[in-house]
Amino acid sequence: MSTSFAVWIGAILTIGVYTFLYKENPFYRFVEHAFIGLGSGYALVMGYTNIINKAWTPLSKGRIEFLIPVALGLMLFGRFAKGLTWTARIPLAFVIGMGSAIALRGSVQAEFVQQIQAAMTPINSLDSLLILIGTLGVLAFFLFTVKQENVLMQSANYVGRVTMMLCFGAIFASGIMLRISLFIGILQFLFGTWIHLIK
Amino acid sequence: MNLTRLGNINPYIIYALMFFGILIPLITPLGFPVVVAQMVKNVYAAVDALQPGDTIVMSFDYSAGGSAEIFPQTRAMAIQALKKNVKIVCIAFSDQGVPFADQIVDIYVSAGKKYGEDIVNLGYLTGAETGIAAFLADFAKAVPKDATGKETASLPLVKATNNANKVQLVGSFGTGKPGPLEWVRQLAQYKVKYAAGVTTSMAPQAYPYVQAGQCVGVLAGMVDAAGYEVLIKDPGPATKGMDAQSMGHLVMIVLVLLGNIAYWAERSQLKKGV
Repeated sequence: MSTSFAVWIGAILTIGVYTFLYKENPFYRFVEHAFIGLGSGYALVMGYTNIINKAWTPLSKGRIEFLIPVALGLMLFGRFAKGLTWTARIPLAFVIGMGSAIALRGSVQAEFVQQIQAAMTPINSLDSLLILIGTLGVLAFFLFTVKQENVLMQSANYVGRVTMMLCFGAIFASGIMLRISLFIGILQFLFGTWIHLIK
Repeated sequence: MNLTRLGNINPYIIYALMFFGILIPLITPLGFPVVVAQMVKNVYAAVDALQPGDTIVMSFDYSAGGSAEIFPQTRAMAIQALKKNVKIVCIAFSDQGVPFADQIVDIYVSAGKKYGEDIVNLGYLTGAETGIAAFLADFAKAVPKDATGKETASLPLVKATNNANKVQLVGSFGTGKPGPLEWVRQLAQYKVKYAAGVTTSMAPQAYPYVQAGQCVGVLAGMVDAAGYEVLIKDPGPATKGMDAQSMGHLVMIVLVLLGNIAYWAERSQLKKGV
């Protein structure tokens, strides 16, 4: 058995979470609320550290240009004061505009040009043939402006549907794999770190 | 025998099957072989191609919830980098990622490497994709102080490699956003190699970036972490969990089959009008 107080607390709280499998109970609810509280507290500390490092420290060294982001940040709180709600829109517009611009800067090349180039490979293997058939099938499936009446369109539609089903199956199986991995991590903690049953 | 009853298995039986199916192989390993995927070999090769003194950026974009899958990946990459005398700049775009970066720093420091020269932990940077863009452009400007409170610009490693153009590989390890999409978008303007570590459920969405040449390889969950541990010849938590993973999958396959048998039995009974 571990002699670490932190490990014991972690193990007891973990068991508390799993008691939900039996039914919802006060122990589970306590752990759930404690987790949310701790998470919020941790995020608050990280946020505070960020403000100190990125705003207060440079300001205290005389870098007055940092007053602009600080002022914009403070304006976000305007929504809590009657008559000043409009002030929150300015920093929000700034954040949305900046975020969109930064994302768009790389997305044309990364998400369109390079992905289209990668799909235009020569058909020299079974993989590339399957990619071609799958891509065309899925694109045909989403051609909503064309009536799916002739055999060609119906076949392409079917290929697209099968391709997507295979993709959903792979994603679902990956999801199961993820859950099992996470459960393995929990068991390694409980039966390894805590009670030393796993060597 | 009424096969439709297979569709109404008591959930507690399923919980018990899954619990013991996973726990028993953890206590008494079965010794299933670990198959190393091509993606893992690609990531291993990318790190292996680095020269002593080169630098990797490792980004810890995951929380405690995803650590069972992701931390073994970061550990394996750090151990390989350590063996190659490669330096590491750690950063976190998830607030809970910082303690995991600290563990990588501990691996380096306990091996005799110097904090600040061979490895740094720059802590948490807010802003997700915007933060990534600022960080790649100038490490010290984006993160004025590291996780220990030291001035980032004064750290020798950051002085020598202060932006993405001066590092040789970027590895992002995450369970959500920012993920490979955000990293690929922001790295598009740099000529640095990129490797991603993701959860198994995120992997299908990350593979197209490998095919397009935007990413050298994707490490998917615990299974690829185990493969990585095999390549670096350092069995760790992922390798130990592989038998349990296989058994968990077998239990799941059996349950899916039973569910389908019940479904077909019910359907045939309906057709017969029973």
